[in-house]
Amino acid sequence: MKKSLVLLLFLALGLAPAAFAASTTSVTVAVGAEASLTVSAATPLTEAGNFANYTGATTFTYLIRTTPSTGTGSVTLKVTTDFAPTGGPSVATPATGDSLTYSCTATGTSTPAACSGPITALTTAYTNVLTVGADKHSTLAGDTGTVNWTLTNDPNYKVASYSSTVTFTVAAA
Amino acid sequence: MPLYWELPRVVLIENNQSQDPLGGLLHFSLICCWTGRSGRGEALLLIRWTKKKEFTPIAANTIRGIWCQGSPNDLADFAVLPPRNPPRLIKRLTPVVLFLVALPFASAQTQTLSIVLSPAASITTPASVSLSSSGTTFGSFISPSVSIQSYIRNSQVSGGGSITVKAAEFTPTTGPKIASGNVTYVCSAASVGTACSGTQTLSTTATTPVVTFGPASCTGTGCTGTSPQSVRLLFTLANSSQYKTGTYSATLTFTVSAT
Repeated sequence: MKKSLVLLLFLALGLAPAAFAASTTSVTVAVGAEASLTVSAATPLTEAGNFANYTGATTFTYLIRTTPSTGTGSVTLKVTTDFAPTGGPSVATPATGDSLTYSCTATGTSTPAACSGPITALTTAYTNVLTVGADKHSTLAGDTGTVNWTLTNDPNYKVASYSSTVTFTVAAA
Repeated sequence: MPLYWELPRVVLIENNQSQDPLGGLLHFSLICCWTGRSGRGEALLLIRWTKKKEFTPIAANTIRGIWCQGSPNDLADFAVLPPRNPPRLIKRLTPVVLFLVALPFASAQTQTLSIVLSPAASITTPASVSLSSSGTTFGSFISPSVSIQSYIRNSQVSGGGSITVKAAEFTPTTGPKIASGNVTYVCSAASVGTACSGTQTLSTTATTPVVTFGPASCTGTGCTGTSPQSVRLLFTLANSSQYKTGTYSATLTFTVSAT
């Protein structure tokens, strides 16, 4: 009898079935239009020769996702802080004939339409750098653009180092 | 027609016929009554309706016929009038029935109950989980803390078990792709077993670990951990500019096993 019990117990343990159960969860995410921008830290403007205009290039990378059908996207810029110190170039109150202008290039899977330039930078409003259409998507690493600056080299400017701040924005809808 | 002798004034007649006693007069051939008695109204007739296994008392005034006169082997034909009321079980049988029923309860006995518990497991997950922006542009989508609850009982010595997860791809297909490794998760706070370590990448082709159970894992009274046991997951979905805008859903299947 004991042998039988031991054998049955052994069989019960050995043949114990594995148990399984499952449950499902739905994971949902709403992906909307979105855009981000990274601009190179600083852009020096240099002259190629005596009284040649100061030039320089600001590069930027942007990620963008626009809505199908009705979506749009853009990159714009504005001089948010004029050149300082005084006595030199000015965006807000330039000397007659002086200006800070720029032109644009851009490339990427978002098929941007870069500004043609020259466009005069303003302290009072954002001006266009590039636009993208509906259902556009940059690469994972981001699409790239360049703003090529031109600043009048006016002999009236006092000798000094001047700097201003330009703010870039990117938008997507 | 078999004949049964019972107590001196009780005669049992088994009726092999199937007539309903309410249907009309029933005729029987009574083999013998009792010696030295004749007439009517002296005996209580118990008629067993074989198919119903009921005894129907027949009152003396319902008996018509000629009773036996002498020899125990005399025959007497008589008839039974149908009773006015439906037949009832004779009350005299009640004590016998009660006695038989009560007998098992009259003595103390011990009973050994045996049960074989096999490995078992169940799991409960939230019906849905929403991933939301982490707050930065093109920052990852993240989930709230997702609690997976389960019950498990596995073998004491060589048992094991696990909770795993496998995903079906996001739909529609113009957005994030689990197959591309866009969704990762981390596990924490397993009340029983060992939570997955590090960052796991969700897959549509293979199960990935959530919790691993050792032998003798159980849930409930006498077991370690909470009941039900739980583990927490945090999901992260990479946010790519390549996704088309829209709402995307994927189904995750969590499976718990116990051996």
